[in-house]
Amino acid sequence: MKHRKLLFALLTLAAASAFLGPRLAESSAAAPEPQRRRAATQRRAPARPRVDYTKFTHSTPAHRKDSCDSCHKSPSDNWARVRARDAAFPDITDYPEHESCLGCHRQQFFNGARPPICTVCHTAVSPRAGERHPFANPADVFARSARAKTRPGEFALIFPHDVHQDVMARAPSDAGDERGAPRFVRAAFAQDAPKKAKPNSCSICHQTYRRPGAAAPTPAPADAAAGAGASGATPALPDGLLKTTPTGHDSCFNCHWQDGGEKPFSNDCAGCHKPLPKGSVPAPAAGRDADAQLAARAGFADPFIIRKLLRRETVTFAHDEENHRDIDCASCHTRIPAISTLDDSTLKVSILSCGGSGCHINARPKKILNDEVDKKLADAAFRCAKCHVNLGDEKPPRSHLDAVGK
Amino acid sequence: MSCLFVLAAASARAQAPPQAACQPSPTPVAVKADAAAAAALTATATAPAEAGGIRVFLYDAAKNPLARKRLYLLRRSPFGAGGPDWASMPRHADYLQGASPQLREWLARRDCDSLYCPEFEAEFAEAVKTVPEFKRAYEEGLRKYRSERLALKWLPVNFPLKNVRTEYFRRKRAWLEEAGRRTGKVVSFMTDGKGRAVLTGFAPGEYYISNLFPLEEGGAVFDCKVTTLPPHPRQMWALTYVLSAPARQSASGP
Repeated sequence: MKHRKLLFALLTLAAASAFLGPRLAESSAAAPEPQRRRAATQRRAPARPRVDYTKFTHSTPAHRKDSCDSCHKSPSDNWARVRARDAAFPDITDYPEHESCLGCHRQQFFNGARPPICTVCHTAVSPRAGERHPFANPADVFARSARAKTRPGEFALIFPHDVHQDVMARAPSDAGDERGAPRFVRAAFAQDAPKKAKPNSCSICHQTYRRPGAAAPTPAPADAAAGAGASGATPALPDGLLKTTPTGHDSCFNCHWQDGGEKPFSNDCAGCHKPLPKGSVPAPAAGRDADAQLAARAGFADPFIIRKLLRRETVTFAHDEENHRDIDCASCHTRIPAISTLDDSTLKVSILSCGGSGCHINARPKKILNDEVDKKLADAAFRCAKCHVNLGDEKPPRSHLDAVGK
Repeated sequence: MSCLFVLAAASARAQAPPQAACQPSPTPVAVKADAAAAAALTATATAPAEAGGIRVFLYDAAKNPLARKRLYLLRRSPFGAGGPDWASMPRHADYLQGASPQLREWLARRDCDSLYCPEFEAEFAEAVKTVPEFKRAYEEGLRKYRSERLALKWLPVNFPLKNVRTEYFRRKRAWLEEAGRRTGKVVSFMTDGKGRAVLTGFAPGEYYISNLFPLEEGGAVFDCKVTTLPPHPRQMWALTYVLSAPARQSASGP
């Protein structure tokens, strides 16, 4: 009986191990597999990055897929109200309608009580609040808004001087020309001839910028004594330093208006506005010869003018200084047809243009460039202050040394 | 067939504008003062990547400076083989079809290739009273924008004759682009108020300076061969040339 019980127990154990053994072995061998499979699954389909729908950018591929006018209506309904009555003209001055977003973003539009996507345009998220952030156009109004500080521009402007100068850069004809006579443009500079209008067609677009409340145009300084020299004092920036550049559509649409004008039409935004490479900003973050603090101290408030100041390498040069005023723009800006609004380096003016008739570069009598280079070479602490502020502390570049024969 | 080709080539040559040469000016005063430095630079062993600038003075036949005129630096002579197709050079008169006598007269008194010259703007207020095409454009603008100011400012947008408005400018520009391609255009420059231009920013070598397109109907095209010098360290140019338009013999060309 005792043997029979023992035999039964052994047989039961054998049967159980025969039945369960392979399964346990299989189970123990396969145990890590589901974990590996899960891990592999996670690698193959990483969690989608969260999209910040409060930030709109034109560079999103889906936003670049369609033409600009698939969203931007030209003109906007509010064009007559956006500018003063005597300055208003048909323009794109408002955000696109909701319909242009809903095709793709319906889910985000109806996402909870306060959908984040609404804040792209609206200041408050509420079904009753229609208040919007200022639209990027008119550009001069937007540039002064708080919104402009948090939304740097996404586009650079394409303006070919090459094309426009042939249309605009025409010297005024002589009133006395008769029909059939040669139509050469006459520009008399003889001292005894009556003074005629200077053929300065650049001034059609570029006028001298005057700071609000600034004093009279800059008088010509006594040349060699003008620099601050070793005193290190920062010179006050004179008035009439800079020239303006058109910043709005008003100077474009009278030719490029979509209904009858010239290509690129006003509703073809990309004809003039080129998307900047992702991450780049349209203005230098910090200036070279000037900086934002200097611009503020000098009373510059216009963002477009500040940008011009910051890209300068000769901050104190005044276009409207009494001796510069009468020099033709093309005498220094010798490569106007090659100027590209997409490349600031094409705006660079050669220092040799300052030599001219020995104005600022000459050994005898010693002119300011010769004087300051000599002083700088003798004393590294000397600050070249006739033309520079921040750059005046640096070593003179090769071009300056060449110009004075050093 | 070959006869036809020869005839066509002869015809094209016959339509070429008169050719004008240029004169290298005497050594500029500023160079004389720096003669030693210039000579030293010329003697340097390594050739600079960029040639010295070329200063050009452009005058009409009466020696008046020609301001705001376009000049081109070319690799090849405009009168050489494969040069511009002179026969297809657009003439302003060909783009005035349909223009009223008043408009023709108004345009003849002004020197502009298109109606977009900003200097015209100040004259639009008077032009809408005397020139039928301007009047129509003004009325169209008034209808569209309901603003006298805008109708006047945007007058060219509503101008009824597009061929008069810009077609000549377009054709001339296209012709110049093709002519520049055929002659190996390097760069273009514009004269300043004194008829002066300083050409800079090109490699050393032999070039031709030309206006390519006559400065007036039937006027001359310059064929000014220049060989660059090394850059002058103290001024923008190392060479100076004077381009004086020859006196015209007849209004219809050579």
